[in-house]
Amino acid sequence: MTTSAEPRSGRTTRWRPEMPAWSGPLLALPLIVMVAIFVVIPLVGMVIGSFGEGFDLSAYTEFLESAAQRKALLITFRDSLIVTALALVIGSVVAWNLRVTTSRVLRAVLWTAVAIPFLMGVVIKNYAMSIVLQANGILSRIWEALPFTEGKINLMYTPTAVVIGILYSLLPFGIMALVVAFNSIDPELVRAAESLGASRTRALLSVILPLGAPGILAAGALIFMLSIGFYVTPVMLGGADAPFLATLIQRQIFIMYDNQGASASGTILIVAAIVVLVAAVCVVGTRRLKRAMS
Amino acid sequence: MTTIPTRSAARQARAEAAASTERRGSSVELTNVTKRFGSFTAVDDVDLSIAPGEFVTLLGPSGSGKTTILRMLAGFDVPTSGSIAIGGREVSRMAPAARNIGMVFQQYALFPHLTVRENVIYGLRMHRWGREEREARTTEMLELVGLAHLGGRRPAELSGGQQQRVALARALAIRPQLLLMDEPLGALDRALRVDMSEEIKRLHRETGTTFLYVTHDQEEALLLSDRVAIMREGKIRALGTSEELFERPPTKFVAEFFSNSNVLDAAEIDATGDQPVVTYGGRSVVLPAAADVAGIAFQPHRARVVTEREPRPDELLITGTVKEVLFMGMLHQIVLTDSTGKRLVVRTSGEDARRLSTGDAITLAVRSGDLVPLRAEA
Amino acid sequence: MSAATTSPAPRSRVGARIGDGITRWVGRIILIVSIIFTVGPGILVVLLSFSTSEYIQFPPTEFGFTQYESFFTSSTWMNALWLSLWIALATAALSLAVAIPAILAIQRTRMPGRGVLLGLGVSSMLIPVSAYAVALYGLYSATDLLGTHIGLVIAHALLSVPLVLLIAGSALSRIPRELDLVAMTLGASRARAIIGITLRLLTPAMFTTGILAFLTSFDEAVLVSFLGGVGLVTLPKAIFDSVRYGIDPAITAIAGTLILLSAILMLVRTLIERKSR
Repeated sequence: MTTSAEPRSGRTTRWRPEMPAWSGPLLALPLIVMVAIFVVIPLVGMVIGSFGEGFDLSAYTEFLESAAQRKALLITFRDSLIVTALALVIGSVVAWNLRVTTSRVLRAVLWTAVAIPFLMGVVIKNYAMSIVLQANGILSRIWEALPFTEGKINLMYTPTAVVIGILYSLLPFGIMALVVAFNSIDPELVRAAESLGASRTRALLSVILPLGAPGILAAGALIFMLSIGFYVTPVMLGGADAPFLATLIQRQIFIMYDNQGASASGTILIVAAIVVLVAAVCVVGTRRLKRAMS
Repeated sequence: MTTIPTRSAARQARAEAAASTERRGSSVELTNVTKRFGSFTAVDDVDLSIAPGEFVTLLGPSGSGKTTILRMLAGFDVPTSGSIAIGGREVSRMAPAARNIGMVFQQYALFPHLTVRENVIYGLRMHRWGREEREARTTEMLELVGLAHLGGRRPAELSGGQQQRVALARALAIRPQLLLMDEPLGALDRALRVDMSEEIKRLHRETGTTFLYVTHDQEEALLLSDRVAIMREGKIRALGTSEELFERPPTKFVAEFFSNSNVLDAAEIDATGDQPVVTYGGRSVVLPAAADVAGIAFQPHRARVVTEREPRPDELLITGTVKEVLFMGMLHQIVLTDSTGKRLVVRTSGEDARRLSTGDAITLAVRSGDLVPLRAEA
Repeated sequence: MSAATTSPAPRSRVGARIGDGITRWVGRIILIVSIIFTVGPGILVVLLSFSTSEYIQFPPTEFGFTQYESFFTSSTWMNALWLSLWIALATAALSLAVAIPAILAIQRTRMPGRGVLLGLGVSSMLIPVSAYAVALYGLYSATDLLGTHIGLVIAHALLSVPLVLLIAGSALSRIPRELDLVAMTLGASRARAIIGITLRLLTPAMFTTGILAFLTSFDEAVLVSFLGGVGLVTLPKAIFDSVRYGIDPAITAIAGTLILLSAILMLVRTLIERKSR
């Protein structure tokens, strides 16, 4: 006959419902080590390295003096803002449709559309874009086919191409972040507003937009932060004429052996990202930001 | 009025025949148990003694500390001070596995990736039962709760009531000395709750394990337990059998929370002298001796509607105005406000009740024997 | 309430309706354009991969598998493919090994600083990647990790770890804590309860995040460019280099294959997610 559950001997040592205090640091140790060595140290090293020996600001003043560097700086931030604006507008439309549509077909199509750019690696995406944008590409063919236009258009190696390319990569992110933002908004509010006399447009702008503003801001911050760091797209689609800071960095490291300059460029990017992040957090609050990012 | 479900005589007989007289339960002793979370005292110096095989309910509103006590018994929390003993052994520093308890939650906490059978057998595996005994015991438990045919299903495929039964089977499989239940019926609908209450009572009888049950539902407590401990704000305010507490609530809180009684405040009572004299509406009535009377209570069904006939000398008279008359099948429920503005509820089957409507004057009579003296809050 | 609530003048109502119409059409156009924009290029590439012409031609006139042939028979491409696969696999393994214990520590213990740790762990995803590349370049060149397999795997893992922390972390938060405690009341030791119950329930999330980590590494091109030196040529790097010297049709076949591979993995991921619900 089996023993009924006898209490095990030696189990009267001190019992705590939580996991033992040493287990946390132990489990987290790999991550701690990894982050310390491969995130914190390199970043700090880079920022310090940008000042060269002693407190040398030359790498930074170069941004003011050299036209090429100024151009990279300007294009990076300007075009990232354009990308962000476009992504927010288009993304909001798509995300709102996903929120309110009852059509299963539309929903499936939209989700597929969102997922597809994820399936292609960044290189393939830009490769596809280059095919579309080049002198003999689709866009050009369509342009030619239109009755009121002449000649071919070649968007390759222009800032426009880079904007389109980055948008292609980041639009899915934006849509997903905006879907999260809109999830907490009740579509019934539009109907409520309309029943009170507002037009659809008015309802959307005066009710939905303010409610979604925090989430939209968070999404925008995310898109901007990701956009300024892009490398493959500006190189493949923008070339030398539409350089991003990343293009510049590549030259600084591999062609000019200017590590200090590269570090300075990198630091500028990081500072910009931090500024945007802090601004977003202040305006929106950390919890919303975290939610938007999941 | 709570209706206690009746069982057919046959079922009753069978159940009694099957009931094992072998008591497997252990006693439970809580001594000066206190639990503080930061500055918040969840359990405040509680003493409680539970006899082997008893069915005791901790009843109280949320925040009263009842769930915390359960968790400390299970080992999910550690008391700030005081001692907890199960079967005479001090367990507050003992791991849950060693305490030989079973636990059932409101949200079932079944292992979602295991089948019903695997869920029930889990404890047996952990306690290293032999293979044959494990299988036999699992089958026995599943039959005990009536789920033998669902052994291969996953919890997600079962209804709420079925999941709860699996939880019970799993908890009882290892023959625990003590079964802890934390509002297990809270997530079920009403009809199911009644059925499951019967199940639980039956399981208690058939296993003889000590049951400690936590709920905020006064009806469940009435139905199921041998004794009820009414808790509020971390302390036990009253302890007794269901009948005792229901018919003769000791304090105003118990009277209102548990016993559905009407409560008249102390202001209307003259408590000086050996026997308290209750004066109300110009009439006085003497209560049987009781010390420290802070109020009196009476059950809704203990009040009579009187008309012109002279009330008896030992009856308390209450006059008021009818606010609502509700027809409840066997009884009428009358809500009225008395001359002091207090809201009272009366249930009666009398003819007079039928003729009353909102706005009518009404006079109630309550016999002094049915007036329950209430202590002040401890 | 004043009784002077007049209905809006007919003119402004018409104006509002026209405004609405415009909004609706603008919305629709944006929707359609964005669908074409996102879906189009992918389909285009896949279509082109079956074209047999020597140069990119749209619409393709002949169809065949020549591009795929040249892809699979070329040793350069194949080497790059295998390298990508093995690095991606190692990345997935490393990311899981680092992040899964970490989420246990963050969510299930009272370790001080766990919020900060989560923030830091996720930060590598938020840093502009080219800045991060510079930073790592500095570290790697000082420690001789440039062009090494392990260096690249670590770098890729740093990009994937945030995903695992967030997604598997979210899955872990949905596993009730009581389950472990229940298992312990039934006699299990704490280790047995955590491994047998909680981790077991976390397995689908581990699979999906593993796949995501794999894909992140497989498609990654920036860190490879900066840290891979001359020797480490993963598939994206190979395509990247080749493209800068002109558009090679064979690449469409590669693209087609990669799209297919990714699609399969994403499908597997969705199936796992559905099943675990």
